[in-house]
Amino acid sequence: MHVLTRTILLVSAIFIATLQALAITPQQSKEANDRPASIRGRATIAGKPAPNVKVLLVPDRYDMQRQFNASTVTDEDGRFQFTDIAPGSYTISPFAPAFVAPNDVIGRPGKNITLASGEEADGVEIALTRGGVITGRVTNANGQPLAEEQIYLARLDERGQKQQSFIQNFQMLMTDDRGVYRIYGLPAGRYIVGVGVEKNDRSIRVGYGNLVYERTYHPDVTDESKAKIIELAAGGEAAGVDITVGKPVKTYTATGRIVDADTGKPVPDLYYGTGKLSPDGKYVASMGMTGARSNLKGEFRLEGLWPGRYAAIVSRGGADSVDFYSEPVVFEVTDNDVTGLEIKVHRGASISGVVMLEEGSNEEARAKFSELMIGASVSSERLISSGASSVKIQPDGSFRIIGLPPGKATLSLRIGNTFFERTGFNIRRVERDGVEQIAGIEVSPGENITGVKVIVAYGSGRIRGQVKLEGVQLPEGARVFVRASLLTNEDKPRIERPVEVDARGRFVIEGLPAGDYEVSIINPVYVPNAPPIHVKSNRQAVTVANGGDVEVTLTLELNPKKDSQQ
Amino acid sequence: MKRLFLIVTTLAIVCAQALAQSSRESRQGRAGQRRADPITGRIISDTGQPIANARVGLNSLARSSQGYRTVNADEDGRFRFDDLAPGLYNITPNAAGYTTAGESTEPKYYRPGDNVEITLIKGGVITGMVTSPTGEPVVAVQVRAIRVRDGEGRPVRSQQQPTIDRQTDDRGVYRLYGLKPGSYIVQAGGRSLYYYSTQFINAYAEDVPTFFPSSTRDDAAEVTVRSGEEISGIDIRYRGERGHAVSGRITSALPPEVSNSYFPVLLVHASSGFIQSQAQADFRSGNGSFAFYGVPDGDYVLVARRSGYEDQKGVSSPRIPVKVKGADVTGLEVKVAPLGVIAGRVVIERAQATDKKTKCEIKRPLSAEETIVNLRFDDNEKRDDLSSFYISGMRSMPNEKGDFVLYDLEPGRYYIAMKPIDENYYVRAIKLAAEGQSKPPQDAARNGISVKQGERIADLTITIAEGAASLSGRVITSKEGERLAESLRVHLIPAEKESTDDLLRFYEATAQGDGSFALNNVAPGRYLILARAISDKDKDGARPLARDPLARMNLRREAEAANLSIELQPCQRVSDFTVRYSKSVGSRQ
Repeated sequence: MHVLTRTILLVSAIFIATLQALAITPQQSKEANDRPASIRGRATIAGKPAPNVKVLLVPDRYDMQRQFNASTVTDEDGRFQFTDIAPGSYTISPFAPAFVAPNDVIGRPGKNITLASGEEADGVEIALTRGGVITGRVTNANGQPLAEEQIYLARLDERGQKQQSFIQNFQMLMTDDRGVYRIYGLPAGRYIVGVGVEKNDRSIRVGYGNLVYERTYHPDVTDESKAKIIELAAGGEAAGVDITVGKPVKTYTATGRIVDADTGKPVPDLYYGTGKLSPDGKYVASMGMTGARSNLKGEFRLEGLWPGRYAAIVSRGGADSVDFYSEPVVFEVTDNDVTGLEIKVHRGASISGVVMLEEGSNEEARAKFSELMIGASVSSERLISSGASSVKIQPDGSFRIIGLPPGKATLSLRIGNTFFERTGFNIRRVERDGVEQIAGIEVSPGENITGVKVIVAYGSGRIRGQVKLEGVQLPEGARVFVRASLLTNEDKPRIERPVEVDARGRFVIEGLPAGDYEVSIINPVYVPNAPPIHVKSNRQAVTVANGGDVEVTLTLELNPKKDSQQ
Repeated sequence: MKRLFLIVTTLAIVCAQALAQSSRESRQGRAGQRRADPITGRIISDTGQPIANARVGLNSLARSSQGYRTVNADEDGRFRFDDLAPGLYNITPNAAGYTTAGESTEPKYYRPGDNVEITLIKGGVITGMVTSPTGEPVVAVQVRAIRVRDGEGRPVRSQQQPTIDRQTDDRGVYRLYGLKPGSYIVQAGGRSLYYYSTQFINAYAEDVPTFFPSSTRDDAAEVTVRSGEEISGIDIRYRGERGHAVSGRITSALPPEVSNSYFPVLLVHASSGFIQSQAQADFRSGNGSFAFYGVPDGDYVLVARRSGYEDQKGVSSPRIPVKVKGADVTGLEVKVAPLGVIAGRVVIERAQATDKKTKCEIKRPLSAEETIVNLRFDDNEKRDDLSSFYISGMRSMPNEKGDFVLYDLEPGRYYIAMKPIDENYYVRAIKLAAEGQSKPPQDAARNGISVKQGERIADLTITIAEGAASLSGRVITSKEGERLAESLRVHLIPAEKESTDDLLRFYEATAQGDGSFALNNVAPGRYLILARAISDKDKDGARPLARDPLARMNLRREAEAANLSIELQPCQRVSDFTVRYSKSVGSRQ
C-alpha cells in the first residue's frame, strides 16, 4: 500500500475518497414528524469508571462525507451523553484503540442502539479492558528487514481453532522501514503470527504487492501446525515475535485476448483484471484491477500470479452501466506462464420500460420516488461477469437497464449506494406487454426488451419492538435478528428484510407498506467464533398502516431440543 | 497509476465504441503484431548496493495501456519489462525507506530497448510522540509530514510534494520514513491520504490538524532532515480542535453521463496552496451536495472538478474564495462549466533516402507514439497552484496514427513544449487550422493556442522532422580569472532576420556550474549564440524567454552585439564549443 505513498502523492487522496464514496451511503433525510432523541451511558475500564474516553455517535446510514455524526468525551464518572439526535439506528462507539471494547454488529467497537422519536435512552454500558500488544520484526533470509509487509494474525479458541479476523485498524498490521510491527488493543488469548500469502488464499493482490512470500509463521515455519503460539495476558506485551521468511515465491504471467463473442474480433480499451472463484466455481468471489486496459489487438496481461486457480475477467470499472457482459476465462497457474487465454465479450440484452407508483400513493412517496434506482439480476448457469447495474429512474418514470446476460431477470429497487439501505419501496407487480411476470423476465441473448411496466408501492409503516429474554443470558456479541413477513393471499408470504436487535433488545422495521404482518425472531442466534444458539420465540401478528407505528414485544427462550450449547 | 482512480468515470462510452469499431484485424493478424524490445535496468542505492525488496513501476500515457505494471528487482538490483507495445514509458522506482534524489518533477520517459540506471538515496526519518494536553499518549492519530523546503532550503509548493502519513501506536509513537531531504512541517489529526476503512472509524479524522510542536499551520515549526538521517523527539502536543464545516451543492445541470457519478471537490489553503481537504459531490444518488468537516479558521479556495480523462468532457467550477471565521460556512452554490479540449496529430517527416544531406544515421526511426505532447501555460501570471495541480490532461501520448487529445483545459493561452526523445529529430512546425478552410493555418508555435471556456479545438498539427543538430560546450568569461555569474543561460537565435518570429528556431539551455551546456534537437541552420545571466524573473525557466516578443528583440540585439554565430548542418554534432560571457552584454537593462 505504501507504494501509493510515493508514486501518486496527493492525487491518491481523490482515489481514496472515491473508494469511500463507493462504499458508503448518504444520510437519509429526517422524517418530518420525528422529535429528537437522546442517549446516555457510561464507560468503564475493568469495572471502574473510565474518564476521558472519546465516544462517537455513528449512524447506521453513513453520510458519504463523514464517518460519525457527533463525538463526546466521558466525564470523571465515565458518563457521556448525546442529545438532539434524529431517531434511527446508531452505533455508540468508544474510540479507545488500545483497549478491547464490545463490538457492534459489523465488528466495530461499540453497541447498536435504535432510538424512537423523542426517546431518552439511558444506561448504555461500554466496558473496556486494557488490550495486549504483540510486536516483532520481519526479516528475509539475508537478515534484511522486510518493510511494508502485512502481518497475518489469528486468535485461537480453546480447541486451537482459528477465529475469524477481528482487526479493523489494518494500518497497524504493516511493518515499518525497519521491518518492525506493533499490533495493540488485542484481547487476552492465544495467537499465531505470520507474514506472506497462504497458498489457498482466495483474495487477490495485484499490481502493488511486494515480493510474494509463502506464508511463514513465527519464528520461521511455513507449516501452520508448527507455528509458535503466543500466550497473551490481558494488557500484556509479547515482544520479540520475529519472523524470518524464505525465498520469495516465483510468480507467473498470464496473457490472452479479449474478443467479441459474435465476430471473434479483438475488443480494445476494456479494463481487465484477475479474479478468484468461489469454492463452487460458480462466481467470481474477489478480483483485482490495476487500471490496465486491452490494447488495439484486444490483448491483456496479468502479472504477479503465484500458483493457483484464477479467472481473467473484464470489469465495468466504476462506470454506471456498460452494454456488455463477458465470460471470464478460468485458468490454472502451476509452474509456467499461461498464454493464449480468450475472454469472450457479448453484447448485452436490455430491459426498458416505466416504473409507476401504485395508485393512491402519498406525497412522501412521490418525493422519494425521484431518488429511486432500478436494477436487474440475472441467474445464469454459466460463469459470467455482467456490465449491468442499477440505473436511475427518469422523472417520467422511464428506465433502461443494459448489459444483461441471457437468463431469468429479477428486478430490484434501490436508493443510495449500498444494498443495505431500505428504500421503503416494494415492487408490487411487473408486466411485460400487459402480461404479469411472476417468475421474472425471460431474457434471450442480446434481446432488447421494451414495454416493461413496474408498479411499486411505497410503505411508510413502522414496527417497533422489544425482545425480552426469558431465562436466557446471551453471550457478548450474540446477534439477534427479527423479521416481519407480509401475510398475503399468495402461497408464500413475502419476507421483509431482517433487522438486527440493538444492545437493549430494541428494533425498528421501517418502510413497510400497509398490511398484515407476522413478526418473529430468526432462529438460530449467531455468536462470533462460537456455535449458533437455537432459540424459539412467539410470533406476533400486527396490522401496519401507512405512516403508522406498531409496537410489539417478542420473548426469546432457548430451544432445548436443538440447543447445541449445553 | 493515475488510471486507478480515473476508472471511476464512465466506461459506457468506451465500451460502446469498442464493440462498434472492433478492429479490422482478423485472427491471422496476430502473427504480425508489433512487439518492442524490453526496457531493462538496475536499481541501486547511492552506496552502489542493491536494495532488498526494491520494486519498479512502469506507466504509460497511452490510453490503451497495460496500466501500471510493477516488477521486483532481483538480488543484484536488475529488472526487466517484457512484452511492451511501442511507446514511451515512465519508470517509478519504489523501495520502502528510500527516495529519489533531485528535485525534478518532470517525468522522464524511456523507449523499449532502453537501459535505465536508477539510484535511490536513503530517505530521512522523523519520529516522535503525540500526547494529549494532559500528557496521555494519543493513539491511532494520523501523523503527516508535509515538505515545505527542498534540500537546499528553497521553498516548495506543498501540493506537488510527497506527503507521507502514518498512525501513532498505543504509546503515541509515530515513525515517518523514506522522506526526501528537505524541511517538513508535521501534523497530527485529519484523514489519512492513503488508508480508508469503513470498519475503522477514526475519531481524529475530522479534527483540525495540530502542527509540531503544538500549533496551527501558520506557526508550525519546520523539521529539516537529510538523507539517511533520523530526527527523533518531534513530539506533538495534540490540541484536538473541532474546526468548522464548509458545505454546499453543485447547482449546474450536467449532461447525463456526468451526472451519474461522483464529483471531486477540493478545499485549498489559500496562502500555501496546500489541499486542506477533499470531498465528493454526490450526483449518483444525491443532488450534488458536498461537505468538508474539521476546517480551521482561514482563507480557502474551493474548486469542483470532474476530469475528462475518459470522455474529454471535463467540467470545473471557477475558484471560489471561502473564508472560515468562527462559524460553519454552508449553502455554497457552485456552478461548473465545460473545460476545453485540443485535438491534433503528430506527423513525423522522414528525410528522403536520396537526400544524403539530411539523412542521419538512425538506428530506430522515431514513431509518433514515441512522442509526448506537452501543453504549457503561456500566461503564467494568470495561473495559481491549482493550475499546476490539474495538469494530467495537458500531457498526451499520440496513438499509432499520431492522434492525440489534450483535455481539461481551463480558459487561457497555452503553448506546446516538445522535445523528441531521439536527438536526430526536431520540431519543425506547429500549425493550427484556421476557421474557414480558405485561410492558411496559423503558426501556433508563435501565437500559442488560446482556449475559451469549454472550447474544442481540432486540427493542431505538430510536424517533427529528421536531421536535428546539437551543440554543446562551455561558457567562459571574457576576462581571465573572472567568476561566472551564478546562473547563465545559453540561447540560440536564428541568424536570418526573417526568422525572428520563428519560435521553433529559438533554443535555450541553462549552463551548469562549470559553465557546460548542451542544446539538442536543434533545427539545422545558422544561429547567433548568446550567453546571458538569468534574471530573477526568469528563474523558474519554465517558459522560454523567446515567447515574449520584446525579450525576443532584446535577445537578437544582444546576440548581434556579441557577434558569435554558427552554421549547424543536418545531424551535425558540435561539441567543445566555447561561448564567451561578457557581463556588459549579458546584463539586462
